[in-house]
Amino acid sequence: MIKKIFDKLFEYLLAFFSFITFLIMICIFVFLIREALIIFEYQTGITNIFYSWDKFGILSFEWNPASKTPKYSIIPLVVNSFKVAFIALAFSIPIAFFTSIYTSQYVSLKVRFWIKTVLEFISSIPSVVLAFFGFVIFSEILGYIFSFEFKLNGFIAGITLGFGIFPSVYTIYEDFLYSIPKDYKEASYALGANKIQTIIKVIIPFSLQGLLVAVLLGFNRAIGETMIVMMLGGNIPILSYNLFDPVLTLSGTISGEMGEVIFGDIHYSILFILGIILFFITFLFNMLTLILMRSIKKRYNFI
Amino acid sequence: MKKHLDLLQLICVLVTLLVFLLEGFILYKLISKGFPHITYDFLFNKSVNSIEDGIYLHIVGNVFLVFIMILFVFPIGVGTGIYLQEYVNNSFIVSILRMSIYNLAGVPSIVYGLFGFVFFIQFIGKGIDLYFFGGNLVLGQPIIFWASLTLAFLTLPTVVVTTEEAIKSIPRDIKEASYALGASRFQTIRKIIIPNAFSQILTGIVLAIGRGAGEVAPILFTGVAYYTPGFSFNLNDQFMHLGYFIYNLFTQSINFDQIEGVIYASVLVFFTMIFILNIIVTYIRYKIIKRKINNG
Repeated sequence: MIKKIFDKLFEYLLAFFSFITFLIMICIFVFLIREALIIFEYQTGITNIFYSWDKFGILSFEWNPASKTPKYSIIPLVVNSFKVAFIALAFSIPIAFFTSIYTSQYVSLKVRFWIKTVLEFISSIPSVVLAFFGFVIFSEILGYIFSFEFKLNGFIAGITLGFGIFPSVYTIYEDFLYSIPKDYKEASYALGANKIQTIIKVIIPFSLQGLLVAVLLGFNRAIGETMIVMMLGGNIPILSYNLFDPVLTLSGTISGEMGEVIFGDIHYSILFILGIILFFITFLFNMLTLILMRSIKKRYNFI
Repeated sequence: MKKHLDLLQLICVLVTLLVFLLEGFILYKLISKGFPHITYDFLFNKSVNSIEDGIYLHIVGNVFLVFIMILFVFPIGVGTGIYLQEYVNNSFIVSILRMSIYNLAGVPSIVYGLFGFVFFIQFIGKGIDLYFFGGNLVLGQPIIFWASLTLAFLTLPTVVVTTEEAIKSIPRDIKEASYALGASRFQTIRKIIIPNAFSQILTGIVLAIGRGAGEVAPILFTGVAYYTPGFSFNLNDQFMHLGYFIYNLFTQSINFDQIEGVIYASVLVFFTMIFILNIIVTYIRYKIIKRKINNG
């Protein structure tokens, strides 16, 4: 009898822990929204977070909370965030692509384990440390090649970020490649194809959707990363499409300005709007990858 | 079969080597520049009056932060993992829980920082202060406890997912044999599932520790301080953090060359702390994979 009661109690305890997980997910959503809604208590209006009219009557997109009439256009921040994330992806996708093919197709199980361990080791480096090395190594090497106007700019931040997110793209894509059923390969060999033909004509086309999942998750990591872009980006909120200009991203703005705002202020609530934007971008991409993975699973019955 | 040169293989090897080279270069630079600066005083000197004094208090703050984090993330994470794998049959609840875990894993760390500030400090902390401490400022401020909780929820998905994977990898027969002998669910979990899945669950915990120890963004508004005069084990104190120290050295210093030794040494210590955790993970995984290879 006591055994049974104990059993039930244990189950309730576990259910309670699981419920906490669910609750936190909901609370993140609710509390970010709650703080963001403060903006409606102010007369300035919601359109201010997109654009404003400067004193000459010209449309301007400017983030400048410290000026006499504070300007809170989020457009430059969003553009900068995407800019840095795309540089990061452009750097990390090719590297992840070739390394994944190498470890999944060319080496034995044991060698694969060791190479994988060494490559994935990057993911355990804290972003503060990565940012420091991005400054020490990349800014030196890339500075030679491109001769930057600014020492801290979006390009360096992007490349360092790309180095940081490389392992997460690599791991997912590599696992996908590795778990492709042997039948496909063997069917190709049976038709007389050699290894390189098999990889290029069979394995890679088949794995493209896995690459898409990996890239989406990599993008998610890149857009939310804070310390690297904050330490290397230069933190100037200008709207420019030049890759070598300094950037201030969504995450960088939150971490840089949160400590200086007045609680309940309009600036405060706008920082939460930035948080919500980040939350929704990652949420959307997460859902997208979930749907993609489910469809792959259904169609090919693996992973 | 004759082996001939494969262009694709060549490119792949070169790219892999490039990444290895970058990693090696980082390690080389770190050790060659940081190691000479590490002295007994630098590691164990308790005064923090100037930057050159040492990083003892930063290390202690960092370790204590992670320690409290484990107290929360371990039961909640492992409990959720077991619950999902062993108890729920309702597919709706499972899919809702899975979805929230999957999304929690994707939420950027800075958003956790915002959430920790608003939920833990402003909502729970201020609430407790109002009802139990008569409005005195006790918990409604950035303190180490809230920072740890924020980190706990940041690292929660890692623990849940690895626990689930670990339980999944236990053969069904063993579990069913246990039930057939009349064991209850709790007994089966305690005697069969936890011992069998232990090493893999441990990897999850260690990974979570590594992540939690290295993150700076979520603790920025929830408890970290650039300077505190000492360290106390009070849960409602601010604390110093090695990662935040490095961040400050990097961004606030006027003359980079002057503090180069300090910053390299701090980075080396910070890095080593997390590197050791990673070696543990690799070791456990190596044992698991070796068992797999031996079993065919």
